[in-house]
Formats: sequence, structure tokens, C-alpha cells
Amino acid sequence: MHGGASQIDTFDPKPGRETGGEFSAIPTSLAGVRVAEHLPRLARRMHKLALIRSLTAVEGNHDRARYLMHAGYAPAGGVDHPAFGSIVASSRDPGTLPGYVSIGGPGHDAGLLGAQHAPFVVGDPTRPVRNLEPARGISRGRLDARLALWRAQEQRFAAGRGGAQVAGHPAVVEQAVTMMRAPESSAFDLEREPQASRARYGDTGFAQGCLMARRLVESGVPFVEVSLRGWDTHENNFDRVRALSGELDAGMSALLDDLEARGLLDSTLVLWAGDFGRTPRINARGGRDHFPRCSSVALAGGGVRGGQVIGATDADGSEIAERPVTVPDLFRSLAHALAVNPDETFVSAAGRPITAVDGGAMVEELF
Amino acid sequence: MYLDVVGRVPREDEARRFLVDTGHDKRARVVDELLASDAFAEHWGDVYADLLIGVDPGPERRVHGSTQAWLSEQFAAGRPYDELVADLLTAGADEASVDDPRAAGYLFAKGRQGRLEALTGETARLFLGVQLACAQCHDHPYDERYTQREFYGMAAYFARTRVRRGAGGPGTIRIVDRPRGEAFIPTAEGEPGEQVSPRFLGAPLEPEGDESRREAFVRAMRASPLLAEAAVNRTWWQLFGRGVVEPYDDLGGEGDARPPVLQQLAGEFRESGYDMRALIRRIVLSRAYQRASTGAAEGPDAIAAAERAFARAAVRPLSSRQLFTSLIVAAGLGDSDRAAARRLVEQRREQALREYLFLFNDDEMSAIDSFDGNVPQALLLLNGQLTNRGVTIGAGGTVKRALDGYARARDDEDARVNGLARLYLAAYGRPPSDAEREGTRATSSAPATRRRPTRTCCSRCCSRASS
Repeated sequence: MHGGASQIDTFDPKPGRETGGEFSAIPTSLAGVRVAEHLPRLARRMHKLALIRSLTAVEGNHDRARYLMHAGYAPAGGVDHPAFGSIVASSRDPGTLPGYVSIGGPGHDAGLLGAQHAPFVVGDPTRPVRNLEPARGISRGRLDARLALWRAQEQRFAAGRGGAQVAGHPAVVEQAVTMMRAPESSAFDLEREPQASRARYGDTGFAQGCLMARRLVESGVPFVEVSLRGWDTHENNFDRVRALSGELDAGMSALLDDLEARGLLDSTLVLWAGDFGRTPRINARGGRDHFPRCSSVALAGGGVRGGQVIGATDADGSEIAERPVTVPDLFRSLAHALAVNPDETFVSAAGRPITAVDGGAMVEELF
Repeated sequence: MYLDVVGRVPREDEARRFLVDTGHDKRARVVDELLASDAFAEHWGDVYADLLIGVDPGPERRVHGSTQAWLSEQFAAGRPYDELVADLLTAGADEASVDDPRAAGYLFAKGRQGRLEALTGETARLFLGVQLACAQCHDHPYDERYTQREFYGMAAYFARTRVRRGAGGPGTIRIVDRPRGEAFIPTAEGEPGEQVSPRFLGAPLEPEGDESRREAFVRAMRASPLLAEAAVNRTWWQLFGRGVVEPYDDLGGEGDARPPVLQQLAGEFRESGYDMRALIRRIVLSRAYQRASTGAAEGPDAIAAAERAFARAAVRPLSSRQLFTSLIVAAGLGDSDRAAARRLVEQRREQALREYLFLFNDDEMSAIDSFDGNVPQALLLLNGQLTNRGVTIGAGGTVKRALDGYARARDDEDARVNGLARLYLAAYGRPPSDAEREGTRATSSAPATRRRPTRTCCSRCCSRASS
């Protein structure tokens, strides 16, 4: 959730309080748990979700917070932390498709893990992926001939030179060619999806991104990120969150349903998160400002026990009242769900060892 | 040489001229010619903008472009390096536009609100070759000289400087030095702790007279041997892909023993009045720089050792700018007499470059394109518009010229060989080797003979051979 979603107007409503704002709260499929009124579909699926209402952090600047929420580390001089998606990608056997796809990107780079684990960015899921098709007028035979010539030239170049670098570049080009020709690449082509199913997700970029995410997961991509932009609601919070909630509600609900119907939900972790939370106080422009102290995240699938709420904020949503969860706690839990070793050590360019997760303690209740 | 000095491969005619020139000073003549050209200033302005601002096409892109223009002016004018650095660090601005910040671009990019630490770490790294950034959070793990006190002592020189949005709204900046403002070592809780007064690498050094703190810092820098040593080692790294000291931006500190070549070049650089052209010329004309990337050793370990000793050239990737500019030069796309056609080519280059850089989020520590590239970049080069335009006959340029020669000489084997040589000359700056001639002939047994040369050109684009 690019910009930082208002937790009070989504998953942690405060009806009847001055901080509660314009929206009412609606009951969910989980007894006693309410969410804001513009998430009716997700409310009906609350028994599949584990909601953490007590995520707390200190980064209140967008860039720094996005870094934190992608890498699990706060930015610090001298170390370029990889996105968690890149860590997951690097821990899996390479397939024909990239290991980390960011839809509506830009995601976060692979830092010290190297460019081969950087996110493959899809700007607009409703348009064909750039440069995946040969240029106009270049037939398969002609491309083959070009590649044959290129391979021979590369081989002559590598002879007598050798070295990992000289071998690495052709490997990346071969990976690109593999991807161009892999049947799995049709996962990027939403035209192949039945019209009814596209409609079920909704016709927004985010919702179609959720659909692409499902197709990519089906094709074996280990990590997919879908961005919904526009949550930085310093002004006119309620109209904007209402509209964004509609996109979110339709897209994420359809994704959960589809994954479940295909038997993929148990092996796929779905995480809803953003830059940070937003202030309980409503400012003079009808907006809410940055509030890293309290925010909500939602998880489903991937072995996470759905139908529970972990932690709570106080009556006004100004403080964590129960069970604070830090970002490293969350990332350690994600690593557990995805079978990534949280203590695996990478070495930064400056020779400093960095673990996959920045300490923290697993949120045991999730599993 | 062309790639390093002017950021592109030689044109076909330039390569030919060099190859047939038998004068023993031919290399020196070409270097002087290149160093005097606009393309030199343009390219090194780019190189320094990448270094100072970063290649990330994020919010700093506008500052990158405008700072590059200013830097190119400085290179064109032969501005001494120490003065250039002083300008960057003491830039003041009552009101400057992001589109023309002059020397203020560096402070704008690195010193915006709340980024005092980043500015300090980067400044120490870039201009002094000192890795102080680690000491931001804790004492340096390996070098006991670099404590948190040293880091915040250096930060104190910039603690009074504020980079603010100008009165003209977004896109304008103001840089002010306030009368007060201090640096503090943070406590474990992240609160400001002990106040530190200005320190320059191990010793307190305060402003004198009406000097600002930044001016005092620049005075200390210009008195330090590190300023020249860091510049020489970095320039060597830019020209060889490896510093005399590695990593190129970690020299340890003042007074550490230096390899003789670094000592000598740094001394010459200071004596020349920090003349960048003279430094580049000196290195490019050295025997070490002219080594081949083959021979001299066998087996991975021996090769690595030979490369470390500069007995053999290490294979280097092209930067993205070198790559796209070279693509256009090799394909002859920029040769048109029509200004509109040249403008179009330039637009395509910029577009491809933006797309390419967007696809590559650079690691700030290395601040140079990775060798391997990534899949989207490979796709862009394989299937992108610029590449394929470059090998389209209708676009004119190298491919058309080679093909015309081909068509005229249908049965003349020598002329056919010349056509192929032309393509190699344009792409690689040399004629094809026997193996290459053979290899290409084998491919031509395919029915689509007429298209063969087009493919040759593409192979150049994708293989990113070293210079």
C-alpha cells in the first residue's frame, strides 16, 4: 500500500471515537471483529485472515519507511539491504520466470545480493510486458540466427578470458531468451484470462495486478508484489480511502478465493502491508498524516492460522495497547512461513555481515 | 581509449585512421585530440554526475542532468579538481533552480533535510577515500581511528548548513549557513547525546576568522594528501575497473603507506595544479593501461593475479551511457546530415537510457553498472527499439553502407570480406579475426544471406565487449 494506508479507516476501526472519522464499522465472518465499512468482501473472508493491529515502527518518512517495509531493515549508511523478495528469490532454484516480480513497482532492489535478484518490474499489468516479444519483423528464425552469431561471438570473446564476470553476462541474456520463449511467460498476458474472471477482480490496475500475481504464482514465481498507489492521504482522506478500499477489497478478495480454489493458498503467503499507519487525528484538510507508531498488517495462507486478531491499539488508536509487533518480528515470521533462514548471513560490499532478518522474534500466534 | 576518454567506441573512419597510422606517437595524438573535444567534457561531466548524484533515476534525476551540465562546463574549462571540490562543498544559494543549481547540485542531492549523515559519509568517501559511514552507528570495526566521534566531528562541519526549498516553490532550493547548529553522537535510544565539535580525521580543527565551518573543512581537505590520492585512485579505477588500492574509495587514512605508482601520480597531480586532463592523459598513455585482456597468464588464479598486478587488462562492462552512445556510433545512426534525424536519434538514446536505468536499481556502494546486467535489460537490448533500429537497413548508417558494398561486389570475394571488415571496424574498432571471418561465413550458408550483416551488428550490442 504505497503511501501508507490509514489503519483506522481499513482494518482497525474506532467507531464512535473522535479519531474514528467518517466511516462506520461492519461485522465480519469472525465474531466480535469489525472492519471499516468499505471492505465488505474482505469482511466476509476474515476467517481466512490473521490481522496484526499492533505493528509499530519509527520511520515516518516515505522513502525510509518503504525501505524498512521492503528490506526489514531501516536504511543505514554503507549497507544496501536487499528486498525481502530478493532474498526469497535467491533462496529458490531459478525457474524460467524471474524470482521476484513487482507489479505497479518499483519495489525495492536486491542490494548486495546483485542485480539477478532485482525485481522484474511490470509497470501496468493490463499492457504487454515490455520487450518480451521480438521486435517487429524479427521472425523466430531470424532471432535464432542472431543468437547463433551472438553465441559464437561470446564464445570467442570468453576463450582465453574466462572468469565469473565474463560467464555471468551471457547467462543473463540466455535467461532473457528463455523467458521470451517459456510458455510460462504467458502468465504475464492477462488477455488469456477468461473475461468473467478478469471482471471478478475489477478493472483497476491493482486488481488486475492481483490477477497477474495469481497467474505468476501458478507458474511458479516465488515472490510477487502488487502496489496500490495513492494512500498518502494528507488531504481529503475519506473520499480517497473509500475509492482505494473498493479496489483493494475486490482485488484482494478475488486473489484469496482463486488461490484457495486452486489449492494454492496453503502454500502461498499473502501479506497486506504499507509504508506506515496514519494519524488518528484528522487534520484541518480532512486528512491523516504519517503515523509509524501504530499500523495494521493482514496475512493469509502460507500456513498462517486465519481467523484471528493479534495485538490491539488503544481506544483512540494512538498507542499500542497489546502485543506490540516490530518490523523484524514480522519479517522473522515471514521467513518462517516461506522457509527462508532468517539468520543466513550475506556480506555487504564493505565487508560487513548482514543477516536475512534484523533480529526480532517470531510472532508465534500466527502459526 | 575512446570509451574512457569520450564515452563511445571510435567511428569507423576514426578506427581506420588509427590502424593505418604508423607514427609511434599516434596514440598520444589521438588522446590529445579527444581530451580537447567537447565529447570529453560531456562524458566526464556524466561520469562525475553519476558519482556525485547517483545513477538512480528517482527524484534526483533533474539534479543529475543539470549538475552534469555544470560539471561538463568545468571539465571543458579545465577547472582544477581541488577548486571544483571546493565549489561543490561550499556552494551557497539564496535561490537556485533545480534545473540550474550550478555547484549546489551535490548538496541538494546529498544534503537535503535530515540527510546530514549521508552527506558526511559520502563526502569522506568520495573526496578523501575514507570509509567513515560505518562509524555513523558504531566505531569502525577494523580501523580504530574511525570512531563515532570522528564521524560526528566531521558531520559538525555541515551541521549548520540547511538545504531548503526556495521561495519559488518546488524546483527551487536555498542553501543557508546558520549561526548555530551542532552535531551530536546519538545515544543507544537514538536521542541526541554528546555534542562533538568539528574534527578533521583525528584532530580538532575550527574555523578561523570569519570562515564558515564548511570553508574550514575545505581548507583542511586541500591541505590533506588524501584529496589528491583519492582522486588519483578513483580515476585509475575508472580507467582500469580496479583501483591501485582496492576498494577504490577506501584508502585507510592520512599517512598510510601507498603503492609507489599512487604516490607518484598523486604528487604529479598536485604539482600540475590538480589538472584532470593531465592525469587522464598520463594514465591512458601508460603501458599498464595499454595491456590486452588476453595472455600474460593462464588459469583463473594466475589471471586474477595478473589483473591485480595490472599485467593484464581486466574485462570491464560498459556503463549504460557508453553502451547506448556506442550503439548509435557503431550503427552509424548519428551520421545523418539532417539535424532533425540527429535529434530523433538523440531522443531515442535518452529514452533507451532512461528505460535501461529504470530497470537497474544501482547499488550505492559500487555506483557503477553491474557487469551481468539483468533480464529486463537484456530484453531491452535484444528486442528494444533502439537496437533494432540500429540494424535496420532503412535507417541508413553502417549496415546500409556495408550492404551497398556487398551488393556491388556480389561475386568479388575481397569486396565481400571488406564489407564484413567494415562492420567489425564500426563495432569493435578492429577488423575481424580469421576465426570471426570463418564463423560469420558459416552462418551465411543460411538462405537469408542478405541479412547476415545486420545480425553481426546486433551481436556487438549484446556482447558488451570490453574496450
